[in-house]
Amino acid sequence: MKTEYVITIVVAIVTLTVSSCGFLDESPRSGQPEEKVITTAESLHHLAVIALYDHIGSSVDGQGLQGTYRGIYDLQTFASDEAIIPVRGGDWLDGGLWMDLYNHTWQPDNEVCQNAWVYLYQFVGLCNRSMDMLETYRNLLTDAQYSEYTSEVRAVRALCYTYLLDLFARVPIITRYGVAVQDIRQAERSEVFRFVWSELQQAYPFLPDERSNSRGEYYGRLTQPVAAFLLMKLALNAEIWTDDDWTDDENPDGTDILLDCADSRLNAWQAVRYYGADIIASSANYDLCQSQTNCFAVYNENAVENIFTIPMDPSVYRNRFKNHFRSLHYQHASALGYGGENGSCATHQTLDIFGYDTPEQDCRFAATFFSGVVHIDGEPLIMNNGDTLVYHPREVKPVLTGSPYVATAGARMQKYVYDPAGIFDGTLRNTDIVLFRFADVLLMIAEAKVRMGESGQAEFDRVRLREALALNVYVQSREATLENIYYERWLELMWEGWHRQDMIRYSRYAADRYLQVFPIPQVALQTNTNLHQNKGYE
Amino acid sequence: MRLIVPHRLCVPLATAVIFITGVVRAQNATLAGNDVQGVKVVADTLCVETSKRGHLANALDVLSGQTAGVTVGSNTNPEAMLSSVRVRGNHSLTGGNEPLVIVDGMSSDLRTLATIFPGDIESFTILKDAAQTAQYGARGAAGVIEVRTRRGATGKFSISYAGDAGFVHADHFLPVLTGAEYRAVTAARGLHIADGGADTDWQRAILRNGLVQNHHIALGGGSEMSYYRGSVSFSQNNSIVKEIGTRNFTAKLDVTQHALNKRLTFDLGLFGAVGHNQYINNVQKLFYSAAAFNPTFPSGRNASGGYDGYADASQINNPQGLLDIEKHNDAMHFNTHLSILADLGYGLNLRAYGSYSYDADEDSHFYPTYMESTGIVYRGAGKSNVWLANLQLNYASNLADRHRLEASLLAEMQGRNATGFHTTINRLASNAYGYNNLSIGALRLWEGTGSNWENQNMVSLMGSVIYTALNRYTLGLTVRGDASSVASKNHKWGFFPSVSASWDMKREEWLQDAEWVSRMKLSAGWGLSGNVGGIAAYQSLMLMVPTGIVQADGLPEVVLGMTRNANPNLTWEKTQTANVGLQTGFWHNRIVFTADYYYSYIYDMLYNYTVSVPPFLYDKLLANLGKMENQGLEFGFGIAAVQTKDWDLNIGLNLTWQQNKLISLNGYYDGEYLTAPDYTPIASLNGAGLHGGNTDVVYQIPGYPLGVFYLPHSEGLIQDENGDYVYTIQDLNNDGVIDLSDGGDRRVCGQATPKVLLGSNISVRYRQFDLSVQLNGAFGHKIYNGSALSYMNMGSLPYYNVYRQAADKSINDLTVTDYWLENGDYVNIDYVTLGWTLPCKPDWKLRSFRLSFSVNNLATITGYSGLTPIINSTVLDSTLGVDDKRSYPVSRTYSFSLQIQF
Repeated sequence: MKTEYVITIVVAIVTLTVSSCGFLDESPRSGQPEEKVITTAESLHHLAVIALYDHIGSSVDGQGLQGTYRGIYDLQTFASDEAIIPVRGGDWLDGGLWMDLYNHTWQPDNEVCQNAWVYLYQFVGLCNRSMDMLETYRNLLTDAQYSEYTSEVRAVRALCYTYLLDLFARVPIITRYGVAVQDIRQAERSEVFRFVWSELQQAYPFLPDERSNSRGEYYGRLTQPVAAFLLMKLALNAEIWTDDDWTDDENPDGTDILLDCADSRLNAWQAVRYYGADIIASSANYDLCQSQTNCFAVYNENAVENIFTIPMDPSVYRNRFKNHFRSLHYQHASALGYGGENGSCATHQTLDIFGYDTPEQDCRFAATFFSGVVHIDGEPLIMNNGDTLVYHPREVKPVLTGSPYVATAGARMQKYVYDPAGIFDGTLRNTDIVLFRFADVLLMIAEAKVRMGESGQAEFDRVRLREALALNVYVQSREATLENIYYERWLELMWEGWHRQDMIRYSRYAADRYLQVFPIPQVALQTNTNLHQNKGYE
Repeated sequence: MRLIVPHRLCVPLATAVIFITGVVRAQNATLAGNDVQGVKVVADTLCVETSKRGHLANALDVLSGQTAGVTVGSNTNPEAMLSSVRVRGNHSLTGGNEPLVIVDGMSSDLRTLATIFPGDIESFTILKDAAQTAQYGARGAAGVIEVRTRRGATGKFSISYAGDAGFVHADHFLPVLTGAEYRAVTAARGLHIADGGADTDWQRAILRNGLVQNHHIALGGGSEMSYYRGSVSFSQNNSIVKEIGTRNFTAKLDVTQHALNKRLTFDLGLFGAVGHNQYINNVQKLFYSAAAFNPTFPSGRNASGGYDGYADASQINNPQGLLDIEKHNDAMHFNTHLSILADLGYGLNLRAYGSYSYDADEDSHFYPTYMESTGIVYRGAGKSNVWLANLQLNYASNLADRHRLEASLLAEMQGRNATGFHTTINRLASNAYGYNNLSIGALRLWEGTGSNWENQNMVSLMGSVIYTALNRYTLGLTVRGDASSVASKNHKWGFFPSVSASWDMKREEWLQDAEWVSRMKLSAGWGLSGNVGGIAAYQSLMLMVPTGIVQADGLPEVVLGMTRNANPNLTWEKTQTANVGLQTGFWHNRIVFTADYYYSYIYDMLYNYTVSVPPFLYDKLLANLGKMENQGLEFGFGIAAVQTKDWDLNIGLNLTWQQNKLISLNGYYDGEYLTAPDYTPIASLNGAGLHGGNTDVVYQIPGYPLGVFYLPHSEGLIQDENGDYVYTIQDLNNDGVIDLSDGGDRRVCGQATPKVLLGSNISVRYRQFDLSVQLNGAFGHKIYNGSALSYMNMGSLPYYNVYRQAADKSINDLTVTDYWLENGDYVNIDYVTLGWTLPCKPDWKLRSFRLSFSVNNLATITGYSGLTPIINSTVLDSTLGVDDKRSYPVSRTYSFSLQIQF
């Protein structure tokens, strides 16, 4: 009897073991492996190509090209002399983070640098994975589809590398998915530049010559004019971005930098004009809007001037726009039905450039900043303490603690038009975030012409006089000298994340030239010991 | 074995309980846990006598301070308490730190345990080392709490009522400026304030005296061959905070049926609980607001029915308005189990066991429009089913005189399935509907709605042998194989052996005659155990999930992507534990003393690595590379000092010394050497001016215990050019530059987890009166007083209120330094109970009657300057070791209780 029982048990155990083989396999339902969802050319297109555009904007801080906190935009803006987040008593000390950006005292463990690095390489990795998917499932595609899709992915990847080139200079070039850590090495800055240029060159003919900023098939996507704009930026900054040692006083000369542009070989300035001409000739018919404000209007998808935007719609997309939230005074934002964090504002340099409070004050000032008495629906805003809310632009200084203007110093960001339908403190709204626009194209062409010794006055004037015409006010004309172009870019492109690049190109950035490039983040160095720190940060 | 310790007293001691274990063992051969009793020599069993404890918030509360090596978070925050129980500290960096809960053989969790009425629990047994937990294998890697509930017994019908009622009252607050003082201080500084014209004490404005009550009715009876026990209970715990509290209703029925001349025994149990919980939406924001909100604003609603906010203080809000944010949870648990025990003769028995449990949770959140720009409603529901089946064959036989062999074989399968869905709406048309009508919102964001499904299975096989020679030398060996579906494809199975030995010296001839020694036993063990608690289902697979919406071909289209790095090599985290223990009893066990030492080495430890991007897509990868060690010394001491007809005096004490060290986080993953960052922050400060930057306080640093303070050093205050005081910062690395970042001018300056824990119970009886006092203490750790850093900063005025002393000290600085790092040592008087028991005569219908009065959380003795040193000093999360504006005002609970049995 005893033996019988033992046998029964043993049989039961063996049965259990055998049956457990399938029992231990995982069969997920609310997530699926790739091969279950890629079944057609269309699904492959969505997964490998379209899905990448979910990463241009973001709802997560540190991610996205613009709109969130503590990412690329903050490096481009608050590490320039265009804007500042001062310490306001109990607010905005944040362990010295913002002062580090303003004073150029960032260290390799700076959280914003780290975020930008991770975001960009994550995006590069996703592009490489898309290339891998397109290769794996190539049998689903026609040859034409394959070329078209891979070109678009490569162009998006080149967009990421452009930012890496600008911010971190000596970065690894990775073009395959699944590379081992030990095989990752940094390339010289000029190599990275050449790589990005060549990738865009190869992709360019396969991209559609279509508008990206309007609703429709190509909304938010990297079309030919977007790529042309990127190529212009690359060529315009080529003197800086092909320089392998940016800490010395020597730069390559733009006229000596030869770049392949389709079938011709042009110098950097010619290349800027070549792709500028492409954008002007585009069937998408780019033009300046009647007023700059039109570019930043609620429902700005129809603005003829915008080239590349981050689509926004509270009921559809997740992308956030926090720049107003971060700038406006608490009670100002609150009166608009938003939330505000009372932080960022214009620097004294910016006020000087705009001629703030002088007879020559630039006509764009009022739409670019909130200053003086804050009005809501035409009425001055009265705060809890009975005072009228007044912004004091000239009272700004890095540490406002103890100042009577601690909460009200500084001209605040406006530029984008107020959307009453915005939710989540106005961070979800119907105004697309403008990344590239036609006014910049004109100013780049003007600059290239002047750098070649020609006149860029026509393009310069189109931008400079546009707002005055719209507002029907007098504006003093200026000669399109390099210096004036620099100021004009500042006036026109304030709050748009370009000023750091411009400062560097005009040799007006930090005295210590190594600061032109951010340090390779400490975490990146620690997790990949093959990487070497950028000069000056070792 | 005779139970020497007076039966009314259950000394809260590792040791006292050995005797009780003996009793339990005799009664209950059916429990899985008791089949290898021979090895379970140092298990801590607590018999539960709730009448001495005052008001208990839930069953987890019972464990607090009662036994060495077990820590339970404070019951003031019932939500946090549910995940705060630890056995011998932290075992993992990623999860799987919560002990396994076994209720009557059925695997369960802390949440379910919290719903069981304390009066329905007969005993807790804490299994701590590998040899003890071997029978639960992987599931028991972080320790096991075996709960035995009260069941029926052969005998006559009985019915009992136990209940208590009382209130909880707060009487200790942060010393912030009153409205009048705020006006004076701001005026003196020339600050223009928003004067609401009132003088409101916001800390008190959100509080009340919370009603607490427990009621429990149990009945039982039966015959020789079958018996039952059933009970119902209701408990309510209203918090000191208005609107906040929990209610729980339970019903329980257990039936035992013998058959075939008692050769077959059936045990059937049913348990159900329904609870409604109203939690604080954001504990830190509420108490930060209560302390710092403008004290001149009037209390109460404004004309439009909402609450006036103060937009300038963006990090806080109107405290009363915050209480209008509803965070409700409705939970339902249903469990049933059936066990069939067959006595096969020849010393063999076979036990078949099956259990099923079903949990349903519904979360309902409501943010009125005046608290969250356009209003938000969230509704979410989750369900889970867990089933377990096992078959166990046991053999026990006396081989020869004084030699005994016990052996068992076990096969077990377990499955868990969970599903859930949730939705969120925005832009509410009205606040009147609360969370009850989802159509009230105009917008449904894409990311606000979702659902999930997951399944996890486990299989285990175990064999164990215990051999006892000459009645005194015992050797036990357990071999166990566990497989889990969450481990990666080729690493599903883990093999976990353990051995244990014990030597009962009292049975040696040379001690048998020593009457004063009643017990002397030495035991030792070694075991390997595994843990997959840190791995979520499907984490080793590359899965595509919806990640967002983009425009595709002119239409919005959901895109799919991966949201984390997959690790196809994920496997078991392993722990080797060695332990030795001594149990002694003297003078008929009037004095008992135990000592245990353990050392555990955790390897293949799961850690969410920061990996190099590129080539990884995401900067985190869960991998098995880390190493950590834990060691500890646990002492138990009990003395029945006085035992006379009229007087009893018993003192129990348990003391734990524990040490943890994170050894390394580096290693090879897939042929590549991965290194973790030198400094990884665990806890940081939050609030105005404290977002990011160098505001991290508690870190995880290889070579140190988990949770060390790593801070710049301040030697005091210095006057700056404006006449304010700022913290001086020492240039620790003498490079002439002050660098507050990690690796710069910072140093390790203490640990967040206590080195020594103390639990002590003193009870006195004089005739029918008894008095019981419980003391708990923790020593050797530090607390960062982040509240003081914020509330002493005069720069926060006028938007944020400050401490009264702030104006005198005139500090205007928020730099995080060790200035506010303080000793966390404390002794807390957990409860004091005075009771009176009616001496019932055997021929009375009334079998027992007892009245008592208790005060819980009577007082805390500490040098810590903040509100309370009883903060999170155990759980590895963003609150570890940091008192950052989130402590509840200190409260006491006063309650009367009544127990009657017929």
